[in-house]
Amino acid sequence: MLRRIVTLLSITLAAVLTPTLMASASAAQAPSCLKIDPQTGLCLVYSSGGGSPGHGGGTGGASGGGGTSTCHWTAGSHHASGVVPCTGPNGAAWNGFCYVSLMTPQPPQGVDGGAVWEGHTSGAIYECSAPGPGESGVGVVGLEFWFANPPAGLGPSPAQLAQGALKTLAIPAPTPGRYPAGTLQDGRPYTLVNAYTWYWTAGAFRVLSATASAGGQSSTITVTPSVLTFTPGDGTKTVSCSGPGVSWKRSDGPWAASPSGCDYRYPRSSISDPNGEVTATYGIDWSITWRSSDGERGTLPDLTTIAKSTFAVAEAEAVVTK
Amino acid sequence: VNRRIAVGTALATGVLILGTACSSSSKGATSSASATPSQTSSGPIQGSSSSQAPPSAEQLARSQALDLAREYYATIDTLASSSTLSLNGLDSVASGANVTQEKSALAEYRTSGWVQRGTTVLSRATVVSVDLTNEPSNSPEVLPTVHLTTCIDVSKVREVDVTGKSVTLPTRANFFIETLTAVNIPYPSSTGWRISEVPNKAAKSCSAE
Repeated sequence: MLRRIVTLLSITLAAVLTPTLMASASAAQAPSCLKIDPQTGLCLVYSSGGGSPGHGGGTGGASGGGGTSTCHWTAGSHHASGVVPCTGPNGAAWNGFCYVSLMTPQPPQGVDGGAVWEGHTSGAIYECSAPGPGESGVGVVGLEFWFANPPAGLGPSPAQLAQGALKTLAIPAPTPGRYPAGTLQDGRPYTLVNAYTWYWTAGAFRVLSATASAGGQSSTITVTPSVLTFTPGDGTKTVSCSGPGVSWKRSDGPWAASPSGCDYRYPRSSISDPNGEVTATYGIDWSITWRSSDGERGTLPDLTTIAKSTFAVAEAEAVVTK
Repeated sequence: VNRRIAVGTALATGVLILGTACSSSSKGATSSASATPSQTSSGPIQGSSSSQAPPSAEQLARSQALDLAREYYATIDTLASSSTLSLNGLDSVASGANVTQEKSALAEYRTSGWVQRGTTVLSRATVVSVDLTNEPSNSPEVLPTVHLTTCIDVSKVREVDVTGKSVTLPTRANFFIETLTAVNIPYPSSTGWRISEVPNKAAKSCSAE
């Protein structure tokens, strides 16, 4: 049940229903009424003055979506119509009657103050506040509301929550694995020209998840590795395969292609490259989806994590190992 | 909750069938239902047929949106007629700007000791368009949306103060044409539809022009 803390009824009902008062204020701002309360005949929502409000925005007759836009007071029971900023102190959103903001701290859910929660254990409590220090004609000031989700114009969007969840995740870089992977006499690791150089990542290629919450709403992201990429470092294009690759085993033999398709054949040695080596780049491409607590779904831009590995590409007949 | 709307559950099915019938007779974009006090759940449903095909997603959306429209008006009536019922009952039928506006208005009326007398009659509800495009991650988000036009008769509705005196503006019209926007955030959940916007205008009557 909503709980009234303070009511500021500075204008009497007689004044409310004085047509001249409302008419003069309306005429000054020339808003038209988008929604008339069929029960009372009072205007609930004024026109934006330019375009109709869209879903989730434009409450109370906003003339724009930003903090500098103006909204209209509803000609409710205790005040005349007027113009107020659409965004109030601390980001509170104008809803046509008052500024709605998340109550801080939230009242406890049990015993004292629990009534406002009405038995809910999710969602959050929001409160109405006056447009400004001198504006006290709104009868709903101090009222508290429970909302399952933040009212329009308040709180981070599910996508923003998803972004926040992403920031809490440490998305791992690939752990480079390779075969052939011997060591030359001078200590440099190597692979062989024309051999199938297997590449894989040891670990890291797994689904991750994180959740962020605010204002009674949460978004859970799922970060899924899609492909393992391998940029050979010899000037050729990146190749990729659709999994983490498989690590080479002795039983696979030295010249076999990787069964996972995660391989690359260097066509020439790296003897002419700096230090006689190439630097290969391993990458994992990640796709990110999110789902909010109220069922919304979306995606965030894909990410790639990388790791580098430097080694020589040697002719087989020239290899002298330690 | 649907105490003021005479048409009962049969209409939900009827609307669906009616939507199909209207599609062939109009622009294929509208379906409508009439809910007058004289109709009952056993009354005839205009344009009904015995189609055996499963309903399409669009037909379901039309039917669900029309059901929601009836529930929406009934909920507002119920809450406006009470000084104690939780306003959070609106959360099951309204969302976005609409829910905060309605809650605030009803809260303010309650603060004043006002209460509604009489019931709203949903005289006509017509689905104007259905767009089930669902791209919630777009900016701005694109949600499955059904636009409806309704005509309500509030001639028997008055807001009264604690003394029982009507505080309804004498200039208030008895009929309103309302443009309802129903969106479904958890689509395809059949219970996910909410009325997000309800601009309206006064009308002389709800009779078909």
